Amino acid sequence: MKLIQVTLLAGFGTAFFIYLRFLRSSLWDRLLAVGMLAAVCLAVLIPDLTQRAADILGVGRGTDLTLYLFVMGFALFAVLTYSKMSRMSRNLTEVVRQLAITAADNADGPPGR
Amino acid sequence: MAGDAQSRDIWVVMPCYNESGVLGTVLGDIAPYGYSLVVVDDCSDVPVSSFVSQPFVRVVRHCVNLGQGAALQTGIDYAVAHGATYLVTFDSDGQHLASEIASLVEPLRQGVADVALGTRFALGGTAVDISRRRALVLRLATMLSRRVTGLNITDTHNGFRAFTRDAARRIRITQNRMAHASQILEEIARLDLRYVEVPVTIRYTEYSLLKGQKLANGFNILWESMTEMFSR
Repeated sequence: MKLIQVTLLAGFGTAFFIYLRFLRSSLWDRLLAVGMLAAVCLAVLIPDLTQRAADILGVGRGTDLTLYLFVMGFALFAVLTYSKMSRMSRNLTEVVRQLAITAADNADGPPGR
Repeated sequence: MAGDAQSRDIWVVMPCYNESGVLGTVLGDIAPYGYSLVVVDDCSDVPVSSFVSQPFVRVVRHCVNLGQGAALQTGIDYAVAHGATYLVTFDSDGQHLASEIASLVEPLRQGVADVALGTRFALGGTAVDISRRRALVLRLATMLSRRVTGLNITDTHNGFRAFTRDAARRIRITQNRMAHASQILEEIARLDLRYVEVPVTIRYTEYSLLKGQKLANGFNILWESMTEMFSR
């Protein structure tokens, strides 16, 4: 095994561990992460695999295919992250709103006074 | 008229962000009419409660800046909880006339509508010192709003509106920033609320133009509306 392969596997393995241990918990998330890690390990250990996949899909080079998949994954990640941030923003809005109204009622008196 | 029951059942909801320069005048214009009034201070640098002391003004302050749409919804929640019968949204930068609140609410009192939308472009409405470019952009935006919502309206993004209590409770503003104005129209269409347009006056002053009335807001509003679709 070459040094670059060891380095890549260690890096992906660490990211995989952190993802599962600290970030996600549902079964589908874990299966997806395991599947992605398996694909990455295969691509690292058997570099010809990406070229063969590229040939099947009609892409010129294996590296191009890897880049396309990376861009797709990144776009998906960006959309999901944005969506999650919007939900968090809505929750924050609700909390701030309730705080503001509660504070005003404490100062002016509750509804129906 | 000041302070009678018919006036007090009208709640003026006024979102406010860094309007210390003009807010005192705006509140002074409203005071004689005896309406109930809630100012939603959207985390202004100088807290509204530090310079507003009129007893008829209730101040609700956000601890972080959320935007005009969020401030409106907070004010509506507060007014409804405090027994408002009619709610009027009113800008805090001096664009609207307190003397026109009664005529805006009148169709709601008569029971002919759930929502009254101020219009500066229909017969009888006025846009004082509006630039030709702004008028053109607003007319294009109105055409777009008509197509998207199906509402027969002559103006859009006019912050001077009135709601019955029931309509205000049903409409939910989730667009925290400027796109809330389009969202209110969409909610009216979605909930099949009865609406009328009432001619009103909008005054474009140097102050209001400096305070976020820039045309670039049009792009921001479009962007917020589109991104909202991804986060539902």
